[in-house]
Amino acid sequence: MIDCPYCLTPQSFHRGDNCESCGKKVPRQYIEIARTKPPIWIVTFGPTQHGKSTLLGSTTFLMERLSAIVPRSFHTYLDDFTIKRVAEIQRGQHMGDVLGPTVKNDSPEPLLIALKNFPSAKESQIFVIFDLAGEVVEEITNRVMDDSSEPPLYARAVAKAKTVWFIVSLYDIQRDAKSSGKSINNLFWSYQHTMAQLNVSLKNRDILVIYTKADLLLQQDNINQLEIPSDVYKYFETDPYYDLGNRGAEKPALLDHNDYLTTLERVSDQLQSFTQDEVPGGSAFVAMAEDSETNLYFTIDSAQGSASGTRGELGIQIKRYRVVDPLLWTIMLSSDEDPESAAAIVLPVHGNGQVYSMNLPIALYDALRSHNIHPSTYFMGETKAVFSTGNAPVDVIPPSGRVPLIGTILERLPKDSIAIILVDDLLPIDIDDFAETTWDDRLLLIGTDKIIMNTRIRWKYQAQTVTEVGQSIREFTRQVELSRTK
Amino acid sequence: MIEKTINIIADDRTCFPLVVIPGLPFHVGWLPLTWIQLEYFLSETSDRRFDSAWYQDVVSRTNRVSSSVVGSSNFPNLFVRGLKLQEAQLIGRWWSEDRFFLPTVGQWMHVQQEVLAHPAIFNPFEGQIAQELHPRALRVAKIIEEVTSEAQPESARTLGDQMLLRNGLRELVTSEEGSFAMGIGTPHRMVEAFTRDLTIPLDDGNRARRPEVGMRLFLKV
Repeated sequence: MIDCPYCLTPQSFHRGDNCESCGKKVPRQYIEIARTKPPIWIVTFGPTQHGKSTLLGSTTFLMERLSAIVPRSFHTYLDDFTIKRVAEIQRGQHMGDVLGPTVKNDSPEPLLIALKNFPSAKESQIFVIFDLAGEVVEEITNRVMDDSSEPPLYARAVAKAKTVWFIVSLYDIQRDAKSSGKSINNLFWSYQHTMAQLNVSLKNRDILVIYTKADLLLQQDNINQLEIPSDVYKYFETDPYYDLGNRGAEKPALLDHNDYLTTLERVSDQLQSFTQDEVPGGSAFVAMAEDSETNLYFTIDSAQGSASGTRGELGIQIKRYRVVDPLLWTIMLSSDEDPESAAAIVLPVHGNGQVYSMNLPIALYDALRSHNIHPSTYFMGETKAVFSTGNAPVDVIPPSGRVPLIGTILERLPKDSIAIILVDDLLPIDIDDFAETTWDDRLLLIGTDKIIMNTRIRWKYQAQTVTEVGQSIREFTRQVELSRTK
Repeated sequence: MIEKTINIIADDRTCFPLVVIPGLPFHVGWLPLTWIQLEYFLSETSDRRFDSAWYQDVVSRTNRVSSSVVGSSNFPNLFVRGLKLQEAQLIGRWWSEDRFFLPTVGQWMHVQQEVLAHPAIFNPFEGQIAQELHPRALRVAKIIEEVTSEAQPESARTLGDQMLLRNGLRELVTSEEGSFAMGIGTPHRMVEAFTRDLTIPLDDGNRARRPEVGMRLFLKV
């Protein structure tokens, strides 16, 4: 089933491109991509004037320039509204104008954006982005509790998004805490009530807290001002992409996706501690999220780069610090959505290259798909999937320098996952750690060389052709079924 | 022997056991750093120094043994040895920039004294902690339990023996003023064979690897 991006009604779209509920014509490209991979829903949730729309503006600005850091990546706007709205945003970005607050609307239209070959080759994403007005967030609880009318579209959009963006300006939240007593946990209460009224569990939902306007914290205009941890500040100010797209900017380094994600996680941990210790209401916020089994992630950015003297005007080129982070977080978190990703292909990073010269990764992927298994694909020695579920491992270029390891991948897969390891003439260093373990019936080693026979792993096949890979998968899946039946 | 309430928790990076000793302002790795833990670091670090050539350089001097074939004669090969001081610090800081530290001689000896004075914990990896450890961490912890219980009668065995703070490795510590690092501890005979002049301080990252010296996680509370 595919959700209509305009009214959120799930349907098959087998009778045509028009939504059976709202009647709107849904872009064909949206339907086609959504058939193979669920869209990523993004909802901005935060108080008025905390920088939601400005962040979104910078995010779309960045999306248009991602090819500079991820070769061959490109974006497409999928409908007229998106084209017009982004053009409006872009004008603001080019002119250095800050966008005014988003106009309150019960049925906001989403931005529909496809990103191809991002964050890695052959990975595609569709984003459905709802930019909610601050006033909406402030009144959402009352609206969903009003039984006399249907919950507004924006509330249902909040429930639809697995990852919701809590956009909070630390500079402003401190001021708000003093003037109105509101703190970051007010946002969580609104979110929690909305979800409860719509009967949606918070368990395993992701909240990405985006601390915006970080540049304002660096001004020394208030001795009681929050101070971000020095490590985080260092991370913030060394963004290699802060000037991306600006006139005269130097060519940036290419995005090293896995490295970048590792750093994102570290910064998130540091910001979570900072939130608990320093941010007004932060300690209760983290405790409430943990209590409801909601996952919390944190990032920090500045979509302006310097404070605006007069509201609405900057008059300088906008600098965007760490604006790519929320996008990368959201893609990473969405890749965990599909429960069928409990299968992994692990590809070699060393060896004589036969696996790649004979196109065995794609042969293996196709063989698994024919058994209705939808794997993610990893490189040995890395913990993040290089191709997430639903993305075939094509045009594979193994990273250099990685240690050939599988343990850190296997131990992070969901319980009862299966894994298929492809090797040439070099074995993973830790392969025997998994002999005589619960992986006995779930781990398959396929090698182009007879060296695989030296391992203590139970299921191993030598395969040098596409046909042989297919045979080994047939036998292995039969074995997996058998052991699960037992 | 003095019995205290010792808790075992899982470290949040690699899910290997850490010991919580009442009164100490830090948690201590139940075992010296294992290859498996180092490999978690290698899979996540963006520091290009720690690549496959670096790994080969370290592993070739001491060997890595798989937990599926380890026994009482070769168990020290479960543990990383031969790290240079700077490498050990960088690896430790991956656990926590703020909390990781290399202990001083005095801190290490204090821990050793505490745990050698404490009777061995009966079935330390039963119950909740078994759920919290990664499967390979649990396997390694249980193997070391078997090895240390075979080596000594139960009545004489201490928590320190379970933690390999005796008959384990030499471990990396710093001098009291932190000016240089060295190996400390009474090692297993297999490690002893590597031992050279321990009066030579390991005072910078450029000296040769010392295959008798391992390290242990010390994390401030």
